[in-house]
Amino acid sequence: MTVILDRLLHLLSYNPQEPLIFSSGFFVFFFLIFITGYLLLAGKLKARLFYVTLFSYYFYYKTSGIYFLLLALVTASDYLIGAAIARNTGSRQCQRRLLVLSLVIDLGLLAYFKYTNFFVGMVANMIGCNFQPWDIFLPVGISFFTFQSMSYVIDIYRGTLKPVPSLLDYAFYVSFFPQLVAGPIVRASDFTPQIRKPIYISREMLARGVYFIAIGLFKKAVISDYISLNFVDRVFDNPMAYSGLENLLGVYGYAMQIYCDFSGYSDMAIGLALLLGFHFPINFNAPYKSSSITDFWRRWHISLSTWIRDYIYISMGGNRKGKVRQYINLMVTMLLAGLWHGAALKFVAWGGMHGLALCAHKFFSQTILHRDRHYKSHGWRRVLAIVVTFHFVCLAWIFFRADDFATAATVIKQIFTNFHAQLFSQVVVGYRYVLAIMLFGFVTHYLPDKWQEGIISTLRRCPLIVHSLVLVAVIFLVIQVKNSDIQPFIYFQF
Amino acid sequence: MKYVFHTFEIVATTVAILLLMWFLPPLNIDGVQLRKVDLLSDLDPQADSTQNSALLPPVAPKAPKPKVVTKSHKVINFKEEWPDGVEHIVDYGTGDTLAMDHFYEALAQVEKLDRPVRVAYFSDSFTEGDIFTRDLREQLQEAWGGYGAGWLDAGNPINKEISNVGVSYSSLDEHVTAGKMPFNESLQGLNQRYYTASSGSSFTVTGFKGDYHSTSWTVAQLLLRAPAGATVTVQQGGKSITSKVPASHRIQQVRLTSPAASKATFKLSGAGAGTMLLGAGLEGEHGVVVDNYSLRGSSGLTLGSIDAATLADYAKLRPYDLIVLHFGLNVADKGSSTGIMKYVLKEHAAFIANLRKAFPHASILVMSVTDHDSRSGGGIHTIKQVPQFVELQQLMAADQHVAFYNLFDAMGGEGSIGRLVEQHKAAKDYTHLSYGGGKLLAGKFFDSIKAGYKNYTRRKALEKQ
Repeated sequence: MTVILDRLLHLLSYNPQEPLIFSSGFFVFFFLIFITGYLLLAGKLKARLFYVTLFSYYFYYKTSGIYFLLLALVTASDYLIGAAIARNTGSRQCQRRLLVLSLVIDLGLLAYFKYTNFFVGMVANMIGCNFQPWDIFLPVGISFFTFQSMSYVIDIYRGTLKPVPSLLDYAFYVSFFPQLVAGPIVRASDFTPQIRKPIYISREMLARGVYFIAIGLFKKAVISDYISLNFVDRVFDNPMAYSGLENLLGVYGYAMQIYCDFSGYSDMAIGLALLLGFHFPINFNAPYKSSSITDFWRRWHISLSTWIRDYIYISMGGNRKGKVRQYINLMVTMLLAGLWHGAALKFVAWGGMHGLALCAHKFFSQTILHRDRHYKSHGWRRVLAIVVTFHFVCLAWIFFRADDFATAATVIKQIFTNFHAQLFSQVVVGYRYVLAIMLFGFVTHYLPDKWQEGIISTLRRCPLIVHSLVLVAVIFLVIQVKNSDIQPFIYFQF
Repeated sequence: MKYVFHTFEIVATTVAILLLMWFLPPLNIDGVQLRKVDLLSDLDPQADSTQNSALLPPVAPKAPKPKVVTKSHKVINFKEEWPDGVEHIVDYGTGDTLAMDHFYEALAQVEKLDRPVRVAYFSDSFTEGDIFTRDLREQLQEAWGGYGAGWLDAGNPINKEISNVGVSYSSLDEHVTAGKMPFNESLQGLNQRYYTASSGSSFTVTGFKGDYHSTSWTVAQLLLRAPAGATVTVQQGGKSITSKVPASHRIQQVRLTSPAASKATFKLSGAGAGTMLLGAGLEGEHGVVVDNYSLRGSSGLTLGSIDAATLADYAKLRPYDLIVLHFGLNVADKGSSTGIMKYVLKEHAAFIANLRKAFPHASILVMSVTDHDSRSGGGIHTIKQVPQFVELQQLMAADQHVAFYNLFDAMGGEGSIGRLVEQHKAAKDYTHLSYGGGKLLAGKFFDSIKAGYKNYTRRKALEKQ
């Protein structure tokens, strides 16, 4: 008994090796306990807000330990600054100073915790010093909650959002656990109006919530984890040990893995929020159906792409300052978007590749071919465009995934100079389960959206026990394929 | 409240069903046993433990303690010294000369020998890409001198770029045991491959930039079969030799010594019917060199198909001082019975007997299989066959009176590959090492060789007293 109690205490304490993620068995109990309290406090607004906030802070403590104080710091400072900006409507200069203060705090924390070693290392490299990275802890999800909080202050400064009525409301918004550590980046304008509304969870929301949790769990814990552990990681760890064919399949596999990993987590977050009565905007919309790179960024990590569009690209002038400046703005925005994903040159290069592709597409589509920005190709042209876009995205993923540029170059070299098509049947037999799961992922990705709506609609009409059975079936499947050392989400450190 | 109750109902029912599923009997689908649903496993301290001790074979005997007879005919029980943390090389040699003595003596005489001290390392995919052997070679060359990457197959696509040397080739067709091309066992080399060639066939070995001794060499030795004769040109370090190889079914060599070179080209300008290249050895005139004979997917069984004449040719042209047999990843696997493992080791023993005939003085060492994990309900665990196979390997080494090295223990025993994966020193197949892991384990083996060598020199010093 003492051993079990010790184990329980260990489970409840902060352990960097065991973050509390939605696909862990512990989270199922955790959520049941949480929902019991949520049910009891459903009619008491302040108590409920306090309860959820407290729970969210514990959720963050489980993942980042004492660094939950950082979350509290960002929350308190931006709440106070937001309120001060709203109070000083008469003085634009004062408002601007307050905005700068908020940005300095948020970006300063982000820069220190995430980018110090990167920039100091680069400078040391340039001047020929031997630099050993400093031991700086990277709090999980810092890129998400700082961006979320920044949007609140900027929107108040722009006059498009009113401040929330209390610190508790703001703490509830910033820390709301479904989206806290890996997004989506929910804007205050989308979320804060929902905070004080009486809880209403329709049958449609329940069905959609269960569907998103089930599909997200399947994507994350079945597709992504399985193909990464059993194929993709091995190829990228040592591409020379694999033929060009395996490298190519590894790249396709990574494209599916990263999509399932991140969109799976977003789906679970959206589903959990729906079950609690909150709506999050959609974050991924079948990105590999994109017929251009511009289309891709309308479908991939939508909450991030719209954030960088609204708060970086437009703030820099967007397309309002001439064509050349527009392309420069686009490139700078995408380079920063790359850097957001991680403190390494490879992420900057990834952003740069996407920036160049966006510029090239915009130039050819709008300047050379004079097409409308919402032009859509049809028929075989569209199929060709989807294939070309997908392969460009895959090419960029190589740099994103590989440990360094040399490894990325090796993967590409293997694909183009050491392909070994004759191995195809052997590879298919050897990796039949991995390839079957990848194929399943791609086939379901290209199914029409109405299929998804059809499933949700059917679920809505079913009794609640069917909802539970759907979740049980997916969890059972996850248990069968799960890796007990559940890997951190790829975007966790971003 | 009623709306939240629906959510509560769904979550509570889900948890209840999952808890009840614990009572389900074991389920099988098409022979595959499904995992038990145990939501409380996180609370169960027993869940993480493995029970690998069951069914272990008998413990291998301890190595006999060497006795030293001094000049004054005094018999002394020699006590070996192994530094803390250094895995012992267990020597089952008998008589006055222990199994590793020839190798240690060669190292002691390294500067007086008219050739380098050579190590042949037979393995499976564990050393593919020169992982482990690259760093073992480097450390030996750093300590006892020597250059060159050792043996490189003539047309092996895996060797196109193996970390610090690369092989490019043209007009060579690979025939490898268990491969797709027709394979005549009697034609294979120690690499268990051969490359059919014609006039114009060539291959080039290039050493890349780096701090490794293996990226440059002074001696290039091509081994080939030319049943109808052939004309071969070898170029390196500003020197060139064109040699007419007489017709023979035996393995022949073309050898060129030059100033230090990092590129060697081997070209057939005339090739009679049936000409086939095996590969080349790149080395220094002295020091140490390690030849990596790795074969992906091998259990070591096919080594027995290398015929006696081939072994004899190698013994003459490329004699070895230490031969290491390192297999097991493809044997100690889930579902492998003890019977299968014993059968494989019986064949290894037969190969050792063949080696003894061809290389009567060479030291022979059986290297244990490394940790090899799989997933089970409680996490990543060592496959239970791994420690069994290690024991069986040690028993076989004792029976054959050769040396044994427990690399499984040296790397940390059960679960050690999982720990290496966490340090990015092994691949996530929980089987193969990365170059980082190879360097780590090569360092451990090297430390053991160094300690064994010290014991040998102490023992020899005592004999002179």
